[in-house]
Amino acid sequence: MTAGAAIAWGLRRDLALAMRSRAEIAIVLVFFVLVTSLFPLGLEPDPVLLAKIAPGIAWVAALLASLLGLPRLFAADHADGSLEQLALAPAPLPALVAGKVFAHWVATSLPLVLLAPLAGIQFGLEPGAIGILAATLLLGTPVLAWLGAIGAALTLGARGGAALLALLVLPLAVPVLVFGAGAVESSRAGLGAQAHLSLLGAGAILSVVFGPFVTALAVRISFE
Amino acid sequence: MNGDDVVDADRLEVEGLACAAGVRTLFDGVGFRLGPGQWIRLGGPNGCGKSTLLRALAGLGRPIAGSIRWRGAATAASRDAWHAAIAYQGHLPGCKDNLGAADNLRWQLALDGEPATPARLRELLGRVGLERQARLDYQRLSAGQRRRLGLARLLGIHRPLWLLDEPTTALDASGQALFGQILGAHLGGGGLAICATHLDLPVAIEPIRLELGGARPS
Repeated sequence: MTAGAAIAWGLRRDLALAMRSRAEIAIVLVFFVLVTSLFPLGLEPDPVLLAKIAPGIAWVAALLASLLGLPRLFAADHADGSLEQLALAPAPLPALVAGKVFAHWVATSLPLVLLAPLAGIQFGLEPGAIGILAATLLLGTPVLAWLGAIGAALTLGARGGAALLALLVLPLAVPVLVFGAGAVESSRAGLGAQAHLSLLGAGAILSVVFGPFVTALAVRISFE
Repeated sequence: MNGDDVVDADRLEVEGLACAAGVRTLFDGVGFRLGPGQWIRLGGPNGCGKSTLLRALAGLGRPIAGSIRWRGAATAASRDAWHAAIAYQGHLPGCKDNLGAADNLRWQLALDGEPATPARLRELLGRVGLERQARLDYQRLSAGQRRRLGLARLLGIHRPLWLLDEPTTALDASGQALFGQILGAHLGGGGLAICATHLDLPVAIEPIRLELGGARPS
């Protein structure tokens, strides 16, 4: 199987599986909406304050929500033996993994990008800032997905894998959070979001290029 | 059946293979040669390392010593060619609970690089007696029917060497006979197989018997 066919296989299979377990994906989205909705209730209803903290809250909520869906990326395949067959297939494992992670991103992160404007409206963000927030999520979530994929593959078979995964991934996600939430703030201050978006884009490219190989290596290690 | 894929050079040579579980050596000094039309019946008490040996051969575990050579080349060094030569079926089915039998087979065959048209799937499921269960979710199949789905995969792919772990567990009498026929046809076509089993497999061709010793001084 060529790399392209392997990516397509992983993408189509995992999207088909995601369609079969829509409830699990809905939980991720509901979690995101709930967390972003709780902050205005917990803080004072001051429009200026809410608009100021909105990007940070949206980003933290997106980070936690993406963490919520991570264990299902490899653990189910590991438990039922599909991952063994993936590792033994006459196809490049990095490409199979890339297809899976892409499907995971489409199923759990892309809806967050589309939901972010909703959160922005809730917090009274101006339209320009909402656009930048959505753009940062679009560029930043692939980095989170790949960091998470590497973590998920490394914690395969480990006891308390899900909790370990959070401890492993969250510190690594800090730069993404800083630049993602900082972009809106920076554009509001009149500095423009160009630099933040460029850095996030660079991170996305790096993670898409190297992520598949590192993740595939971690999957192979999990069998040894 | 698989004759078109098999050439004379299909040969598995294992020398001095040793595997460990943690710090305990499960077995060492395992060696054998396997040629076209031959199969190994891998026996031994529970926990002696049969599954570990099969996994190490497939490349899912790392042996602590020894060499595995396929067509004269070390398998660890030519992984792609090796993976294209083997069909491994371990304890885990590699099937998704919430997909139907036919869908599971379709994704697996596509991953194996084999054609998986609806007509082909129907034919394969029919040959293992699952035509009426094609749309049934995997989790609703009985243990024996799950094994039969595994047999359908073996029928559908063209690999010279089969590595099978307890292939007849949970199969009824007709299922065991079916497995015997399938393995017999595979061997008759010049295929090779290694089966870890406690049961007598109804295969006409006499196996090479390999017994892994139980407890050994460590």
